[in-house]
Amino acid sequence: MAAALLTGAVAIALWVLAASRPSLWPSGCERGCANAERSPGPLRVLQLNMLHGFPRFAHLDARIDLIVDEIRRREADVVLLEEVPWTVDTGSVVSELARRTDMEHLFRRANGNRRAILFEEGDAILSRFPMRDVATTELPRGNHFFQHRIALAATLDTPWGPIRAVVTHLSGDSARVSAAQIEALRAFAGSPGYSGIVGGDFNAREDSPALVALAQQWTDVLRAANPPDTGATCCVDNLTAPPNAELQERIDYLWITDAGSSRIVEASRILVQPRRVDDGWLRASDHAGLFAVIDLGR
Amino acid sequence: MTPSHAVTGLAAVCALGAAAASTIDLLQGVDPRWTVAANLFLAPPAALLAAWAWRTATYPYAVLAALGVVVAPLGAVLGDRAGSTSWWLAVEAAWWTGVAAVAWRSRPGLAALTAMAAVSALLAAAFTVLEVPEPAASAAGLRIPMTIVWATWVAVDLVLRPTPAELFTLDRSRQA
Repeated sequence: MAAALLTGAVAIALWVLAASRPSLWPSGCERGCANAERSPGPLRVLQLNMLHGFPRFAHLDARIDLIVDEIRRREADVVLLEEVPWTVDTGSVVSELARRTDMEHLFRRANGNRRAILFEEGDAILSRFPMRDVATTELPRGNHFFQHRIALAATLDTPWGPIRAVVTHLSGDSARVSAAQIEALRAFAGSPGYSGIVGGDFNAREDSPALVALAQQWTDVLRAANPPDTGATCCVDNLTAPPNAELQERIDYLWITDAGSSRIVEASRILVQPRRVDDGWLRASDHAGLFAVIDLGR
Repeated sequence: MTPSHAVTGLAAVCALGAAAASTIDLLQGVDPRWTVAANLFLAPPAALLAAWAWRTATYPYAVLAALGVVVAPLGAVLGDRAGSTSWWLAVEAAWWTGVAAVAWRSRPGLAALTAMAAVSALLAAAFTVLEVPEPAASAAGLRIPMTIVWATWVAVDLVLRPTPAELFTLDRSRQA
């Protein structure tokens, strides 16, 4: 009987330890799921921390609608997303987004665990182009036991040749953690020999030492655009606040890792203001998104 | 090795398979095929426990313990939705309650652990029916780690104490 009680305690310990862990490997549909024709023009990239909203998931369905509308309106070829949730009510949000925008998709859980606590969230890549050479890594830990940070990457076979797409969500707990995670991310993104696009919520201001160092190696797309848009990307407390609620700081970025002959046609923040919905105003996320049109020059 | 030992050994191996598949399902979570595999692996030990209960327990308990024969394949069919389907969780709780009752005298360790598993499934069923919000709803996920340790315990118990006589003789007098 004592052994059985001890075994029950082991089950509870297993549950606690599994409650928030990165998944063992990425999932999704890397190729063969998207059928839509892309409209002509250079590469269009969209980046957004979409806010999972655990535990209340406020306005999640309506916010998914706003994000789908934005992806469609911008005719994005590549979408890099953080905090993409799975909930009992919505199921897999990345699958929903991919289905409604007719794109290939990849997802890896960073935190939570849909089996253990009926919720999880992670990073995702949606792509109009087939994906291959999927890779992922767990970045150095921050200061929170249940918080994990990952990066997810895939090579996209585009009409201009291969592009490496990387998405991440860093913790920014301290300058030391931030520097360690950014260094690990830089090593993970590597030098594939062709252009790479890295997007994510870095949770670090651009004047932080780690970001300053990174900007010397990678091209900050929104800063390099003409005109540049280096406005704040985070965060609003009230998703239903009317327009003109102030964003506080710039912590979300899009980078090109090997610019070569690439040219940034345009780049700007998006989803900065709320949209009109039936009963007032609603923002897609507490973050602004980023959008860039990039001529790869090939 | 007698046929009854072979059947018991096969059920034990399947129980270990169920524990392994449930562990991967718990850690990975995204691919419902692991849920399906775990439930399919549970079917043979569930059938063996049902046979044991049918031969040794009184009808109400035997019927409850026999529910495992239905619970495992239905869990496989439900796949990703198993953990959030209230009626299936309730039937799983009933099954485990029956197994716990049948095992109470002859296998007290298994009985205690199965009772804990039944409580976890009942909790999950109740939370699902009542639509308990997060983060309280997280407690419903405890039934998967309980399934892992329960299946492992069943495998070890069957190997250490196969008791073929209990499994293949009809003796309802042993259980109240």
